[in-house]
Amino acid sequence: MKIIDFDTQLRLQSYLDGELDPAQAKEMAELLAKDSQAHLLLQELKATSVLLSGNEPALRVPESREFYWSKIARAIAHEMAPAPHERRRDPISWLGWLVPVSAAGLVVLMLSVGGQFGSGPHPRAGTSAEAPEIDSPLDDTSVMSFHSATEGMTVVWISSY
Amino acid sequence: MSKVPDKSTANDETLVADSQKGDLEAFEELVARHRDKIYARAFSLMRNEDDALDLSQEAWVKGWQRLSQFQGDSSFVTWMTRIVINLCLDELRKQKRHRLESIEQMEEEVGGVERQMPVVVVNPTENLERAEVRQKIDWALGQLSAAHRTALILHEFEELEYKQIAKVMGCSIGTVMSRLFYARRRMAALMTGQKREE
Repeated sequence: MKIIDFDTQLRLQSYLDGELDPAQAKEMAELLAKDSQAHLLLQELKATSVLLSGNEPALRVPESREFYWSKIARAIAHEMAPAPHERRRDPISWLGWLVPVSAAGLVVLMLSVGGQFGSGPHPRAGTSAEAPEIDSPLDDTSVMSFHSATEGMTVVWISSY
Repeated sequence: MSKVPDKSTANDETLVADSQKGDLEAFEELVARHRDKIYARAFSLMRNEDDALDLSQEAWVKGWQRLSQFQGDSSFVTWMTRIVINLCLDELRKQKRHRLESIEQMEEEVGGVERQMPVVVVNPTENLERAEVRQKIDWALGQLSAAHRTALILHEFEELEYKQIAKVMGCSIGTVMSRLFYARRRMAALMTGQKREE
C-alpha cells in the first residue's frame, strides 16, 4: 500500500483541524475519497483528538485552600510593600531635623555665654604660670540627639558631669 | 447597617471588578474557584508536582499584578490559564538551556518514526471507565516530550489555532504542525498499547 508523503499527512491533519482554505480542503476531500490509507490516517487522528478533548485529566491542588492561598498572599504583600528607598517622605519631614539641631545649638550657646559671664578668677588659675589652665564648661558636657522620621520623635540628651 | 456581600456567591465578573479595585478577598475567592484548573494546566505541562505548585502560585501573583490589563475579552480563567502556560513554557526553556544537548532537535529527529507507524484505531473507552481513560491519557501525556505535549495540550485542551500555538511556543506554524502530528500519532500508539519502534 502506498505511503502518503509527509506533507500530505500534515495537510490531512490541517484538514481535520479546519486550518485549510476552501480550495485546499476540497482537494483533500477528493484525496480522501480515493485513498484508503489517507482515510484511515484521518480516522486515527480524529479518534485521538476526540478522545483527548473529552477526557482531560482532572487534577486537584494537593494543598488546602488556606495553605495554597497563604503563599500567594505573602508574595502579593511583598510586591505591594514599597522598597525602603521608595517610601514616600513627608515633604516637610526634613524640618524635623531642625528640632534636635536647634536644641543642640541652643545648649552650646547657653553654655558658651554662661562661660563668659562666669569668667572670674578660677580657684585653680595661676597655679602654673607657664601653662594656665582654662576650664571650659563645655568640656564636661555632652549633647546627643536622636531623630526618628518614622516615629515622628526627637530626643535630645544633655549630659553634664 | 449595610450587609457585607458574600464573595462565594458573587460571579467571576463581580469578583474581578472588585479585585481590580484592590479587594484581596475577592481575589482570594477567584483563586479558590479556579486554582485546580490552573494547577492542572501547570502540571500537565511540567509533569512535576512541585513545579506545578510553584508556577501556578506565581501565575496568581502575576494575575493580581496585571489585573488592570484584563479587559474581559476572554473569561478570567482563560486569561489566567494563558499566564500559567507562559510561565511554564519560560520554565521549560530555562530547564532546556541547562541541558547539554538540544532535546528539541532530538525530538524532531525521532519524530520521523511516527510518520511510518501503522495506523491504529483508538477506542480505549471500550472496556474502561472514564476515570481510567483519563488516568491512561495522563500517563500517555507523560510519555511525550515537553514540546510535543505542549503542542497537543494547547490544541486539544486549550483549543488554540496553529498560529496561536506558534506564537505561544515561539516557533513556526510548520513546527507546530509537525509536533502536533507526532504527538497525536504517539498518543494513538500509547493508548492502544502499541510499542513504539525505536
